[in-house]
Amino acid sequence: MPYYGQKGRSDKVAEELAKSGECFIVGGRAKSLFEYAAKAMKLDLSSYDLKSSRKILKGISLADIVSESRAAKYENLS
Amino acid sequence: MRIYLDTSAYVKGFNEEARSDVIEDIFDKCEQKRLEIVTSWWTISESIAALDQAFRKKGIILKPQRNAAISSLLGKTSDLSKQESLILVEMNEKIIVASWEIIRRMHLSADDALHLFTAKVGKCDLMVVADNYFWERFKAEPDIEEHEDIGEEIRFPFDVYNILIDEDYQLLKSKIAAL
Repeated sequence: MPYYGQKGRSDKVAEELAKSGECFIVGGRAKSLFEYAAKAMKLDLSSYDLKSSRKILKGISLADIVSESRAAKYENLS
Repeated sequence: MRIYLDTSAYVKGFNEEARSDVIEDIFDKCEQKRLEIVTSWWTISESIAALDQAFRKKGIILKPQRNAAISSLLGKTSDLSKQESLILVEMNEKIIVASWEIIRRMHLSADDALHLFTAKVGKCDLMVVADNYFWERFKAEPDIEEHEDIGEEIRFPFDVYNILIDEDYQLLKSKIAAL
């Protein structure tokens, strides 16, 4: 659903960041960061098997786990 | 087309769960370079945390399974990013500070405000979530008092789809199929 308000202050920051692209990470930089992360966690990314891990996780709702963590935050806010 | 995937949507690309098919479609189209996925580095942290909770708190997967799933998460994200069809947005001080304005005005959690603002930075055409809590806050009337304090409203010039809602799920499914 679309949501259009009026222009706010953070719009300017968003425009500047989008234009400069300073916080966008793609290509080789992303690859080296993931390689570093995998090394730190002693994981092998070269042989990952998405089909197999999808099967392992079948029936578990990761989205619900994420949502529940956030729900706790909102319930504390209410 | 650029699509922002919030963590609740992104994790569905790594699992077979309710309505994960539409996220799989998005990943497939991304691989075919028919669309770009934009997400935050924070998404990766939240996804790893969700997998860790499935192991440690809920005990529904074992440690090697958690590690295999984290490898898939990082490996797939890295591959899509390498082919430049997935853009990861790092959190810098400008993004964090700008998200505070969203927290005050919309009373969103810090995570949700970060995702919402990051979608703006990524110039996304639409944002996908699978989270009713976020959705309720997002749809709520903006806080008038906060507007009086801070000034102008914030604009989100993109459509937000909560795939837990039937109508949004169907609409998104047909939109992605048409690409």
